[in-house]
Amino acid sequence: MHIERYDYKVRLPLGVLAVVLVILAYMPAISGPWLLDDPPNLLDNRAIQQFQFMQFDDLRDVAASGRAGPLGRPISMSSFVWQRDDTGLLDPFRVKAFNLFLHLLIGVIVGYLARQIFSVWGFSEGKAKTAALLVASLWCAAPLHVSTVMYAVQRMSQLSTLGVLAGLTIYVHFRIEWLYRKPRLQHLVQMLLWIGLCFYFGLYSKENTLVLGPLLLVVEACVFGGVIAGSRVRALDSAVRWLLVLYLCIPALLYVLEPTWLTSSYAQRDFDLQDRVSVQLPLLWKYLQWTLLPDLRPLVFLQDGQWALAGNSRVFWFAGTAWLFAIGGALVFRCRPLIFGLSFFLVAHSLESSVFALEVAYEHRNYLPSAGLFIGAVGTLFHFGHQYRRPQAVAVFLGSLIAVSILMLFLRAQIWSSAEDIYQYANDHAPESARAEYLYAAALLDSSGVTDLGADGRLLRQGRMLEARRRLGLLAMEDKNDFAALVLLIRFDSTVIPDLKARDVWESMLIDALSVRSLQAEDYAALSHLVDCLTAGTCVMSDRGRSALEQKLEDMTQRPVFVGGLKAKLAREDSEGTLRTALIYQELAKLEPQNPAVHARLIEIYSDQGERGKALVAMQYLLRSDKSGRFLAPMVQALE
Amino acid sequence: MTHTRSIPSADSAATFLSLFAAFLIIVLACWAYFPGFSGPQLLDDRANLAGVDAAALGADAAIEMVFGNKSGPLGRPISMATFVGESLIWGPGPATGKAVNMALHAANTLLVYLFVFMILRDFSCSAPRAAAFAATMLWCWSPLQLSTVLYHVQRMTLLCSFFMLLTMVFAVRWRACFERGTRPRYVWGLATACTALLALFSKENAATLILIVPGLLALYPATAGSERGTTTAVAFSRIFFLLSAVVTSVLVVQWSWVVAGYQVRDYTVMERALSQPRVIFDYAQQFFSPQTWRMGLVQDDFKLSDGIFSPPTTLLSMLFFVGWIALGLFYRASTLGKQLLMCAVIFLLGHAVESTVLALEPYFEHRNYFPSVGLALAAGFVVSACLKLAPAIKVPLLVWLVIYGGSLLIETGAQAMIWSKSELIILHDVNGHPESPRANQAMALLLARSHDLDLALEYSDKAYPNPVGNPSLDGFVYAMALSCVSGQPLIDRDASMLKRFGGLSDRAAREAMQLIISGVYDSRCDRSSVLALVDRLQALAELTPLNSQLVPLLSTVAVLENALERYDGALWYTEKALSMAPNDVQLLLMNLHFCVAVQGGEVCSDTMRKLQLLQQSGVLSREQSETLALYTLGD
Repeated sequence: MHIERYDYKVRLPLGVLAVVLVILAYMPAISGPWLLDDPPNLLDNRAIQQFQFMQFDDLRDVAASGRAGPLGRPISMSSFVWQRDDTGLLDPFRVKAFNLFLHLLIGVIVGYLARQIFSVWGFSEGKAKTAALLVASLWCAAPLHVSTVMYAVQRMSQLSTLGVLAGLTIYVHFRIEWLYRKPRLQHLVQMLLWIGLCFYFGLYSKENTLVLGPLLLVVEACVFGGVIAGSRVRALDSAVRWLLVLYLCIPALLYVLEPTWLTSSYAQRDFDLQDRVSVQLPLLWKYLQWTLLPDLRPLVFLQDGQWALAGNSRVFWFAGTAWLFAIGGALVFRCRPLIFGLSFFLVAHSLESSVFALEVAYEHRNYLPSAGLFIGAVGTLFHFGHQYRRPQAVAVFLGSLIAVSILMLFLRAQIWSSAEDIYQYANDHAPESARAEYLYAAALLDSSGVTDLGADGRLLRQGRMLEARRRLGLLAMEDKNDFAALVLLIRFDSTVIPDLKARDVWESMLIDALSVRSLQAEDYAALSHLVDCLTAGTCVMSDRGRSALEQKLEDMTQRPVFVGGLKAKLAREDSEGTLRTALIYQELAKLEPQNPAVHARLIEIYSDQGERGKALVAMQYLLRSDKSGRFLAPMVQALE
Repeated sequence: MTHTRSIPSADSAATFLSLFAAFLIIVLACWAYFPGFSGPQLLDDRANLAGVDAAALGADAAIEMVFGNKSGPLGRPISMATFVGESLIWGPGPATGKAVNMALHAANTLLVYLFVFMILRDFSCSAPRAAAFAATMLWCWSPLQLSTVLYHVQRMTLLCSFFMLLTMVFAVRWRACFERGTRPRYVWGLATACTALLALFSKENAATLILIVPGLLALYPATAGSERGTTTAVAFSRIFFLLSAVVTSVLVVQWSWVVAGYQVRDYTVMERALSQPRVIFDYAQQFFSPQTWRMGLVQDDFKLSDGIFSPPTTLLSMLFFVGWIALGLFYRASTLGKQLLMCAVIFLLGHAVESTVLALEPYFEHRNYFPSVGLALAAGFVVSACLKLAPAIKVPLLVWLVIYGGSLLIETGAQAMIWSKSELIILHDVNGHPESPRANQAMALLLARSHDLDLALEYSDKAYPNPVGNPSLDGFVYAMALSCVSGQPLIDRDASMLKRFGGLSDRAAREAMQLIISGVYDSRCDRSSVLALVDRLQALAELTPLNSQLVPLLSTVAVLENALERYDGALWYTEKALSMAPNDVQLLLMNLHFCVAVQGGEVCSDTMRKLQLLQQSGVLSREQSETLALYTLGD
């Protein structure tokens, strides 16, 4: 009775206050910009743009329109169509507001999960509720999560996290029942069906949900310890531990048994397996700091500068030692919350922060792991607070931490109110990040924010442009392979200062870069930008430079369809452009008959040429190769 | 007191939820099917529904259309009446017809829900409403139903199924009342008979009710301890076996009639009979786990079984169905056995007309529309059994089932998009069935209409593989038709390569000939090529011993000669044809026409007299009489 009254008088108002403060803190960023992956995935997404409520198949079209991940993330993609404005365009405010809603919903689940776990760990009901409230508040207010919640496309990570945490909560809910009585088969099946649903939901939101299985093992090992119906089932406990060990050994086993499977994905990267693994250990320690400490300085969003950790053996050994102490300490003190927090954090990172050929670091990768870490950290503090009889001190400390977190969250949300601010902040605090340097320079080139039309405004615009060019020039000079910077320089010089001869230097550097650099995703995007710019006439290259570029494109073997598309765009400039374009795509259709994009392009070409018969045959191949039906709606439209 | 009050309120809430669920199933299905309403006329639509414009027809012609259909032995007047009726109310056109089909599909969905619910409830299954909901959803949303709903002429199947479902519902109601001895049984009995008749006059497949209804009533669970119920079940078992024996005997006695039907087929009765277990197994697979890439109207590339092990799936599928029935018979006294047999009665006997020995084409998806109720019922039984074993899983299981049903509906929605455009239907068919002559013919025609004869001929050659040095007339005619349609001359085909007078036995080739004929009239065909073909055909015909099977070919070539204004040739062909079919009215009329054109009225008095005699004996149709009247008036 007392606890219930306390719930209504203290915890509930505090919870509501935390929610309100988090919402208010996020407010400045909620009208923020679209970023990096948002345009290709969302804004340029035909299916989302053309979605019509009356057309049932448009739901499938939107779901199948995802390009990310092996499964296309259909649930995430489908979640975006409901946030369009009256004109059918995605509204950033609505998208980010929905992300914030999801964030708070996940926060509630984190709190509920924490409360259940704390009660299993023997916390009194009141203490468990207080600790859970603190966990949920800390997790919701973590400034680290701004780059997930306010980055529209990271809805995928949020939904995946929602699926995983819901699955864990269901497991804990059922498992608590079975601590005291034996499970019945129907309840076991019921639990599996519910967890399966969460897994399905999460997996089709983002593939990271695969960690749900190992995380269930972590929860079983660290929370329940194989106890069923009041007694410890040693076989279950051992099996769970061995399965966890086996899971953590999978990368090593893969490396020994099937090394090519692991290493082949690195063929298209400018780093190798060893580089990535050597960075991940210190990086994971950094992630841990970013999560627990509300310090804005390292939270720069663009974390490619973390590659600087690669060659630093001191940092590596320091991080290794720190991890050893943390894990060792947790084991020595037999502190279950700490063991749980660290295990959860590491296992939840096991997909994106281990051996796979993904980019080095992203803040959003901590969205799920941080939930377990906060549960573990708060549990540990309460554990020691109880042991050393300092519970109030712990509560005051955590309360202060939440207050600081909310303040930092608000400050970070201010930064996230404009793209230029984000990139400027990243550039200021991570000078080693080439991406930050480039994006900030690119942002300076966009003077649409300067509203003053007078002399001061003109001066400011010129100053911004000069500064942008200086930064891009430095970037190109220092990092000779920075393809995007070179493309932007060519464009800038072609349009703003066409008489300057420096353009030839950028041209030759660009051609050199094409020869030596293993092109990455952003390089291909820059290349595409260059070709678009050349065909539109806003970029000018010398005849020699252009023919060298065309020759380089001819020599490229990676991503033949993409490169073929660029060649075709350039070919269209010629007198016999249409014919050459058709030839290029006919070759591509032979080379990659299963690629629907090639056939789609051929349909356009043949239709332009008035060859309806050939267009129909291309449509036949498109219908055959388009397994997910992404092109079905455009085909119907084309036939109308 | 409180307890007794809460039961009806809980029951009414459950009823409301069930109705709401059924409503949702229907609304979502309509939403998914909607794009397909704008689809084109298909295959048999043209033959059956050409000219169904009640407003333009007038009362007499409309009545003749209702009662004059020849697609089945009973003329399917009820189905035809709906076509005429819809055109009268909403105007003619496939879109109207497809919307009406959808409305019928919605009504059938409700009936399936009602039927499955009644059966599950009377078997005392757990959660009958939930299980009936799952079964109905599966049935309604399955992509296998699409080729029935969005195929205008399959109104016949939809309407027949509607009345068959009503018959089964009424029969079950009759059985319940009969067991209790209550008066409404007469009403239900009468309703059962009436709806069965209506089903029969919608499409002849309803003849299977003669076995399905007794089977259903024999397996219907009797109330525990009810002697009347047990006696009724035994009586209906006997009726079922007796009727089965009668049907089998009729089939044995009429076996030569069955075999005779295969004269127009390029497979034997044995091949068809061996193949059907495979076909039916494939239907079941397509119902539960659809492979939509190979779904559609075109299935003529289905490889028939030519032995029990060839292919091995023939034996496996036979064993599956035999095992199903054997298991049901073995456990016939138990609920499980009855449930197994009841599903078999609906699914397998539902296929008894079209998927056994009659000389029909081996595979059509629309044949599953009614029989698949048996599969849905089986799903309902399984769901119910699961919920009996583990009541706690009800909600998550239903959520999973909705996800599964949703995936089926998504497939159906994508198929509906394909069915909204004739071009996409053709492309889909040729992708799913690259070896199919029908798919390749359609693709060739589509390309010819796009004025690309070379590409069209590539597909035409796949449809009519050309043995070296011995091309078929069908292939040649098709190529020439493509030439006419595309408006481009046929360059590398030479009529002198034809070695045999024979062909035009398949519908596509006959339609191609019609295209040539209309192309000649419209001057779209290369006249010299057509003349070369006609000359070659006449040379071959003169050398060929003619028989009655060549009559359709002779009359078609006569029409072509007529189009070329070569009345001598036309007359020659009709005379040859009449020598083998002397009382064929159409031939006689043609002969009269060509005779008048070549020799003048007086010489043709024999033919005229013969036609007048036939007219007096009532053999001539209204149109034929009108045609004859033209010559009589002239005389």
